[in-house]
Amino acid sequence: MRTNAELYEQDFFAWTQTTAALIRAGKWDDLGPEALAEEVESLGISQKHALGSHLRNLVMHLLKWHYQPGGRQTGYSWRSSIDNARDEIAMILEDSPSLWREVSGLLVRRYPAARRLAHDETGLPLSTFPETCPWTAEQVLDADFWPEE
Amino acid sequence: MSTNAELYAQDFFAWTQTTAALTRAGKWYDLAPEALAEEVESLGARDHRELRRRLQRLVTHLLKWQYQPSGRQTGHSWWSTIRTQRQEIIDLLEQSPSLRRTVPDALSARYALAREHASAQTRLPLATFPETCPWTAEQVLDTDFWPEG
Repeated sequence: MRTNAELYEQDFFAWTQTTAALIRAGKWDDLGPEALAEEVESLGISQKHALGSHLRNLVMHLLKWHYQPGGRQTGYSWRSSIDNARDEIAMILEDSPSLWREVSGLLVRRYPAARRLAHDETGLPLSTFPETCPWTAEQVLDADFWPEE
Repeated sequence: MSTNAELYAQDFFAWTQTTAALTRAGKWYDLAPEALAEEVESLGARDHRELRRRLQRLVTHLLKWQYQPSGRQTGHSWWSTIRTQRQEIIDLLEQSPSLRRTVPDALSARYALAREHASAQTRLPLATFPETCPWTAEQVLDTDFWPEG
């Protein structure tokens, strides 16, 4: 019979089913604690990554909104992209309030990618966009914040 | 201080971090076993769902390949979709060999949807495509299988 740690190496799906059964039966001695700890941690890390991606998209669309006002008329899709990203972020933060303290750091780290994407998608020179994020975390996440010139 | 079960309800990210630490420290008596078992199971369910989704997409494109020969060039988007989906499925099954036995069921469960999508995307009548999946699981996953009508 394979140990739980061996199963983790050989068959991930089978490991998830067996591990859940061992936990429910309280058979803690049969579990490979390191694999279990890593997988549980990875659930939280995926959520943090998702938060970072939504923030990057949101800031990219806010940059387009602010610096290419011409796109705002036909910009129904920009408006809904901004609304959707804010919604996704709100859901993550409701689920995990402790991620609030990560928002400012994520904004700083993901801003250069947002800026580069805004430059690619608008065709405006990179120097159009400020080198650091011009908005606070509160502004970025405020559903009523629509930056205008 | 909130218990592990309370934390699970209140703050998912914090729960993942705390639970990983408790697991590593072997403090099983502080853990909420049902939440932990469910989350571990959900990791397996995620891969199972991904397998089914990718199989459906692969079958849609195999149907298009067989029944609309004009799209059949190497390098065409159908060709690369078929190759990519197969590789992703093979990777998933390598990581979780126990999911292999679910492939035939997934194929019959998802075939009707795959057929509808193939019909919509090619604008060919639904009756163009067989009512049940014309291929075995082995054929669908064989990287050298390119059905020609």
